Amino acid sequence: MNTKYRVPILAFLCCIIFCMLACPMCAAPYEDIPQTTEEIHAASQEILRSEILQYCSANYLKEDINHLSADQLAEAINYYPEYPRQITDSTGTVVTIVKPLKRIVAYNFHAMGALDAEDLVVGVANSALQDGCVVSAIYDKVNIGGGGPYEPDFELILSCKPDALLTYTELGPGKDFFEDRMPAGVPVIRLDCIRPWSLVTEMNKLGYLVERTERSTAYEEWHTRWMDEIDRRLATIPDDKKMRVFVDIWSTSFTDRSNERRTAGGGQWYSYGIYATDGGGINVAEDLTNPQGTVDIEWLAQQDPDVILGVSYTGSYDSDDMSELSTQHDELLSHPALQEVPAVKNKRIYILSYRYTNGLTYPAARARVAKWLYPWLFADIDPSAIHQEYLTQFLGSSYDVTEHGVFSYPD
Amino acid sequence: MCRNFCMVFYRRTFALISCFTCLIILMCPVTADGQQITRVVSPESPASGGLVTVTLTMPPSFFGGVIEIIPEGFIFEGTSHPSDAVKKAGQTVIFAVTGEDEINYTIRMPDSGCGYLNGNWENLGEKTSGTIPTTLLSTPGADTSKCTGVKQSPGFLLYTAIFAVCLAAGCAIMRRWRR
Repeated sequence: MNTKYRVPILAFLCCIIFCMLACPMCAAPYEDIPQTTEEIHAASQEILRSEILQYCSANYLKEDINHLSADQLAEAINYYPEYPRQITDSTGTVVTIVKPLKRIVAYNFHAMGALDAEDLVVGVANSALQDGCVVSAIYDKVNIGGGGPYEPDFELILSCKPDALLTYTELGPGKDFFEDRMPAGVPVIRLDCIRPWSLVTEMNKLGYLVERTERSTAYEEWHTRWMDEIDRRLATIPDDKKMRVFVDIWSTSFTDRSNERRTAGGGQWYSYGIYATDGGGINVAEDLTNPQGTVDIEWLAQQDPDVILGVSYTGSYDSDDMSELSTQHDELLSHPALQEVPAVKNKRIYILSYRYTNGLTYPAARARVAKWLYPWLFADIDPSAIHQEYLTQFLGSSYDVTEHGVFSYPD
Repeated sequence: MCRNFCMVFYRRTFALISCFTCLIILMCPVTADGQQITRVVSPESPASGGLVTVTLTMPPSFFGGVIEIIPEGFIFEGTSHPSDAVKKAGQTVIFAVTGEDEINYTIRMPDSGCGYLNGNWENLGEKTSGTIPTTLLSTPGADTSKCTGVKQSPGFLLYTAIFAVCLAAGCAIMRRWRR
């Protein structure tokens, strides 16, 4: 071989080998969350070994590493092989539990209800009380305040003598309020259970931590069954027949200017654009990079969307006032600049409550959007029945979603 | 006078018994309650550059760490203990134990020389800790007066010192009593 080609060829081969080696790292991280008894026992052995090595490394090798205390290890050994349990929460923090949790302050409560773990909760955020009509056990908990822009009462949290605090990754107080102030040994667990793509993973993690893996497995089965069914039907839509959708995010409250709306490009605003694409549509603002997500009304008119899908930060189980959603609908329908837009001309404007989309009821909300976009494909599927199935099966509630609540508009 | 003699005899004997009782109590953690971890090496007289298998035997239901310190010049070759339960740092090897009753590992001997294997254990379930008696490793013909590693565990040294102090006190009491 000519020597002048050797270096480039070697470099090329090195690159190929590097890429092959790097491939597993590029792939989405697979998190093996223990669910069966055998998996839990195997995991606890692995975790305990690792924690013992870290403890000994700190104490005998004087390494500066995070490790469980001798008391925590003694607790974990006392409950072995059920404990220790360990997850990486949604902020990437490793959370280790050394004994059964019995006094959780759930600033984020809703998943605890679905896991039938209300009995482990001692305190909830004020905002959780609006779900009391569905999960009555909430009324028996200490109201720690907070919710929305308000901070909870930290003294009330401490008075609950919690053994863990469950909260969101970004909603509500941050590290300086919770992690930095909680007593030593009381973990802060940040799992949202509100984003469509991480519902199952987070439910499985939480189910594992609170000894409710049967429930989290049941949720995964229910979630997968509906998501697969929707996928199967949407797969029959050719790309050139897909609906062009504009996602209108709470614009009514966000801006007083009538010539401006707020939307979501790929990866913005908790990827609200996923409600369009997951429903089988094309997000007309997919390539938008404006961090605020604001667009001029003329820009919207130029996109000629077939459907406008509104997302509203209103709606709940404890309200029957549909005007919370219809205001946004009517505003879009009557906007002078949008009168030639197909979505307006054909009255294909739909509004979703965030309480419906941002949570464990997502398969029902997704079915609702898919049916709005392609009614002929989903004629035999009733999204309200899916929603009702969730309430009955996972919350054990007799609440009737066809009679009460504000979830979507106009149907 | 007879009464005085009896009183002095009684007091000094009592002090002597108390001294030895203290000594026995202090030595208890090392030798009693089934916590001791034993170390056996095979072969007992290894060849130069040869492999030695070390077997550590733990008491039942031991959960914790075993920390072995291998003398300089000796090489840790490997272990049958699960790889996720072993950490090697320099000449120190840490074994995490989750109920196993035995650990086997191998050491390669130097071409010539000797050294002491030292070890510590920490039973995290019962919150107790201690040392494993030292083991001498020596190649044939090595001068064992110049071995590497610590000959006796710190725990043993401590108890030896306490024993010496108690013995001295006992002797002093005995001398005064004879006067």
